[in-house]
Amino acid sequence: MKKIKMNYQTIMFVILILLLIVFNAISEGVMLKPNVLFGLTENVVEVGLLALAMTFIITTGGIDLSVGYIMALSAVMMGFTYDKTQNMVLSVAVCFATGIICGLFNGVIIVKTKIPPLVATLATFSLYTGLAKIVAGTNIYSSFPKGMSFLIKNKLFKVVPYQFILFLVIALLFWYIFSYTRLGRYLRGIGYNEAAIRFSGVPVDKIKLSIYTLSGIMGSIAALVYLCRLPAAKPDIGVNINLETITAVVLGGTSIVGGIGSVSGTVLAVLILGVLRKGLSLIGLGGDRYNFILGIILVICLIAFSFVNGQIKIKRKVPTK
Amino acid sequence: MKKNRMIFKSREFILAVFTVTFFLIMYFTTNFRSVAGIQSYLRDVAFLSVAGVSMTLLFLTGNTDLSMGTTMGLAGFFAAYVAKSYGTQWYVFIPVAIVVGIFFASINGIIITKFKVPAMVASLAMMTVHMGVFTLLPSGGWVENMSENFTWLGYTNVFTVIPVVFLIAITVVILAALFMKYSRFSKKIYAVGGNPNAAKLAGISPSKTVFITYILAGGLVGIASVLFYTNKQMVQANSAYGMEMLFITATVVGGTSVMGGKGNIWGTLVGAFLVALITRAMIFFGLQDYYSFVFQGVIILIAVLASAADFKTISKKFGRSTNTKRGAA
Repeated sequence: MKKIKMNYQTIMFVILILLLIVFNAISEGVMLKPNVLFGLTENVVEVGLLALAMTFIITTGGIDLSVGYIMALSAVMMGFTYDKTQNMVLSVAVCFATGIICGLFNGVIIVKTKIPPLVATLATFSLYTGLAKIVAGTNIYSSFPKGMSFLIKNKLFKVVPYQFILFLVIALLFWYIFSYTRLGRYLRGIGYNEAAIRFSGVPVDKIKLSIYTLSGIMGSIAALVYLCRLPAAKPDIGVNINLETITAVVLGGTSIVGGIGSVSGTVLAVLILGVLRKGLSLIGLGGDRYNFILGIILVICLIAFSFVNGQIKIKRKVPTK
Repeated sequence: MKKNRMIFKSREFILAVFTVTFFLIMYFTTNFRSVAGIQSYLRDVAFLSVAGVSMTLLFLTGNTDLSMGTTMGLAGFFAAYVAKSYGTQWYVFIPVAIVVGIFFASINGIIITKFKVPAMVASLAMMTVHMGVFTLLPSGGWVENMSENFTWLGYTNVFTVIPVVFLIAITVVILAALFMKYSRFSKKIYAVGGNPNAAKLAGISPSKTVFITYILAGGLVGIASVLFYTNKQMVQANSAYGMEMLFITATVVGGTSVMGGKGNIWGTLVGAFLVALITRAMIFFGLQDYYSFVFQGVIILIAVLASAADFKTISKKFGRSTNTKRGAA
């Protein structure tokens, strides 16, 4: 029998299957019903899209705390535009434009000034959520054309949601870029030792600018997917998603200090979290408990990975930060 | 040498001037002028400054704590619970708040020092854990109908205008500033924040220093929670959620560097005055709280930009001698 490569991704896959089995048992067979199983992938897509871009960012040692709010702002801007103009094409364009501008803004601040990504995105998230609230006021934009909600109605083979297919395609793209291109190597290099990479002639600033913009674009796409699923645009959509995104990336094996990353890990982690969320709701432990568990998972993963990283002698510029 | 000129050109002084001007504008143009207005403003400043000092200490070591709001909620809840259920006086529930604050802060401290997890992510995770703890608390973290033994602290005023909580806060801040100026430990804080490697080589243990700083910060958060909650009839653990943004703003505006190693208590105090003023101003002018988010974001950006700016540039601008041996900010 051919030896299966024992690495972190394999372990995660096993955990995923185990979780499915356990929850299936607890919920008396509900979990593995096709519509439930694939149904949970609906929620997974938004987090997944954001997590893909976040993987790139965290691998470089940065972070983007504003991504959930970019999503909310894009959704609100789209709703606002459609409300005023009834023009779908324009609204979608505005949605993307918002994502690009916000991502670019993040990127410019992080690259041009020496502000650490943490503080920069902490500041910009306040900005974006404030803008979202100003634009929306107390409105909830829900008057979208009928076509928008087709995702809820139609699924491939009646079971697999289309957005999940979209997610898989985009994930494949990200995975390829990360593992097989120079760009992917550069990302890991930036996280590992930015100064050295810079001196090697790699256009670090351009790369950083693009990944933060990419994060913004992902925010817009996620907003679109969200609105297709739940046509109600309001400013507080993005609040929980940040934590889930970061947890997924860290759970997936990407090191929070950068240098080590895995897109496949992120995808698996997103699926695991989706299964966890659905499983918990089936048992009756709803939203708040899920967040709590998410926090604990994050802490455990962080601690566990610091042990793993400690055994690998990675020389860092400043150890105890 | 030119010490007098230095004071007038220092960042804190400029900020203070700005705040005072703003305050005067507010005072004469709106109904801020009322006794109640000043009182509530000073109450805001009270908890904001103490919590700001707490955040400053952490920033000085190079760490951030996004879970400070929820920690404050927990400390406040326990203090209120003890006060309500056992009818105890301030000398019991204030220490309770401090202990709870220290407890949760030290969990963060352990994760960060022992397990080498970066502070930001650790505190983000702990924030959700705290919120989970809220759901486990009796009556979901709410304590209602607080009575005299708790609320007198919040409602009493000295000289009509100055709330007791403000006096407590000022005392704490002054003590903290004296501590930072004269104790040996504070030198370690600055050393670890400025350059942990160098500090280690100098014989200072970064982990120990950071951990003790977290304990101090936790105690301060406990005090801040008492200052915040005692004027409320109903104490909710989650009403302080998100407040760490305000504390960060006050700290950063006050000149503390996010990277660590630079900053001081007085700056944070002025920052607290300013942030509380802006918040109040926005309420008075009828701008709902969403504008405050935008404002906060902008303020943080400007403040951090200002501290990241080159020391030489600022010196040149203000006419100081550009003694390059001092090095970059």
